[in-house]
Amino acid sequence: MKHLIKADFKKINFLSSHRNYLIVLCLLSISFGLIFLFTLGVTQGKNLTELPAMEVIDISLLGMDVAAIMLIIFTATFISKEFSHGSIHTSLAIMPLRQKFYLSKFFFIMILSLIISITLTLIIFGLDQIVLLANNMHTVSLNNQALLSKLIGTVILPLFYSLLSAAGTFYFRSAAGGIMFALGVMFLPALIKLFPAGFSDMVLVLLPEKSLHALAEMGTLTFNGQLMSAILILLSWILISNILGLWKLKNADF
Amino acid sequence: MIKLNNLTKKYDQKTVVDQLNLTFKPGVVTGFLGPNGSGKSTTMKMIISLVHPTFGKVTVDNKSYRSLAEPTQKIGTLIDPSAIDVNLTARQHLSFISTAANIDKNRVEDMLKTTGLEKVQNKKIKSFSLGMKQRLGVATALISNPDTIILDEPFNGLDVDSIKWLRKLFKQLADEGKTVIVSSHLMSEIQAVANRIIIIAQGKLLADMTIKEMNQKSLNSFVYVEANDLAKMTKALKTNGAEVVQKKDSLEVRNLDSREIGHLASEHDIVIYQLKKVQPTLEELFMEITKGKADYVSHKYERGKNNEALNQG
Repeated sequence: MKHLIKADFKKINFLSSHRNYLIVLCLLSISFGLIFLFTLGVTQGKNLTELPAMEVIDISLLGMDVAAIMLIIFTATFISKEFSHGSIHTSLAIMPLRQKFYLSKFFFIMILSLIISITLTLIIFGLDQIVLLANNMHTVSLNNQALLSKLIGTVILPLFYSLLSAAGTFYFRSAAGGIMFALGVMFLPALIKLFPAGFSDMVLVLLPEKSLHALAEMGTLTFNGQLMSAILILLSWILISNILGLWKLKNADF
Repeated sequence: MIKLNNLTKKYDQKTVVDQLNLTFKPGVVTGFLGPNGSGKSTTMKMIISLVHPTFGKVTVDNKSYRSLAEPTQKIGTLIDPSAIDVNLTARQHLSFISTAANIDKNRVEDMLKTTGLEKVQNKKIKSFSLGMKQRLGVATALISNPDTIILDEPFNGLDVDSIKWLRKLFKQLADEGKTVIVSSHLMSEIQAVANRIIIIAQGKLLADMTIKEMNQKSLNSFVYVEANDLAKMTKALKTNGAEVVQKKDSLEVRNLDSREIGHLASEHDIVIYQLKKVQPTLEELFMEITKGKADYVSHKYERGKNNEALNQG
């Protein structure tokens, strides 16, 4: 399985379209983080120096939403090429155990998303520190539990949605299916909120958005009921969607 | 050794492969023939677990393909030459395969040389002709130096030089003791390379024999006779149980071989001008065998007769 993961990284390195896409993804995430930060006067009518340091970091980390959306698209197009190009014939001839083939893609996407998310989060955080210093504001130490919780939550966001995208792509055997599934789950809360509070509160608890926010807004890194339920809900989404994706792959004829 | 036991594939009510029982032995080039939709590709895909059998099973050295520790060392396949990421170069594609299958990197160089793709190794596959893609597909199938090579329509899009190269390669692989399974609709190519022919239609096995056996069993093989007295010759032949068709200046004789006809002519003082065994090409044989396919479905008697004729000989 590790050879398949290694080969997929090799493929990214070979294909300039993939390389360029990932570079643009990183540049756009950072740019949007900074744009959100420097347009505060327009969007919120406030000066940067009026905000607490944690809020400055919070705003710039919104750039990671761009990374999440672009990773959803990357994951779906990368995996769907197996079906659209028919290269799944070669892939399954090399690794006929379909669960292993599926897991190799799952771990490849997981590792890639983690590398990109951690790198981007740290870059954006580093830029925030520079912005804070430049504005004679106090920087935030990495020892700050609330900050760490926010950074971890931010790293998990693109990882979570790209794994959903992978499951959707395997299930629907198309990039469109994978993208629609992951984006659907991402934007469904906005639709649910239009319904009466009694209904929407009940449904929103089960959707991943609230759990992802809970992870980022914990304030401390101690295990508690809220953390546990957030982790359980996110894991359930990943597990159920990927079990369905694997089931579809295992039963398909190519 | 690859064994197919009652291998059956059904899609809804349609039976694509129907209870195939075959064994593929090492050192033999097997030609897999059949009309479009006969189940050739589905059978090949079932061997490498791309398609799930509805009934029956395939074993590779007594194991299922999925349970093999190093499947690529057992079977190398070319199912669809276009099933490649066309944005890669030939070298990158082979390098990707070698990494994924944990194969020695030197095999990439070897395969580029073997398939004659050295000069275009750094060109993107999307600029390749079908023939070049076929060569790359063959390289992909051979890169792990497998015991068995399965190639679906490898002659498609190849020029004369490439066809000659592929023929030579198949013979070389069989001489090395490898099992080579080749499907094609180009009968002449199969005739030139295969030791054994398997013909399927509507998923059923119609024929499984060597080319020599097939020629002997063919209804279309006959002895061509030119003689000074065709009427006398015809009478003598018919008296001895031959089936004779009279043409303008010659006879087509079935059920007697050249030697027997020669002796008969001598006994009856007939002068023979020409006496030759006419063997149909594989294409003619293929047409002959699959011609009964329609009857095979709807007229039981004709089907039985046709199969009987093939299986007796």
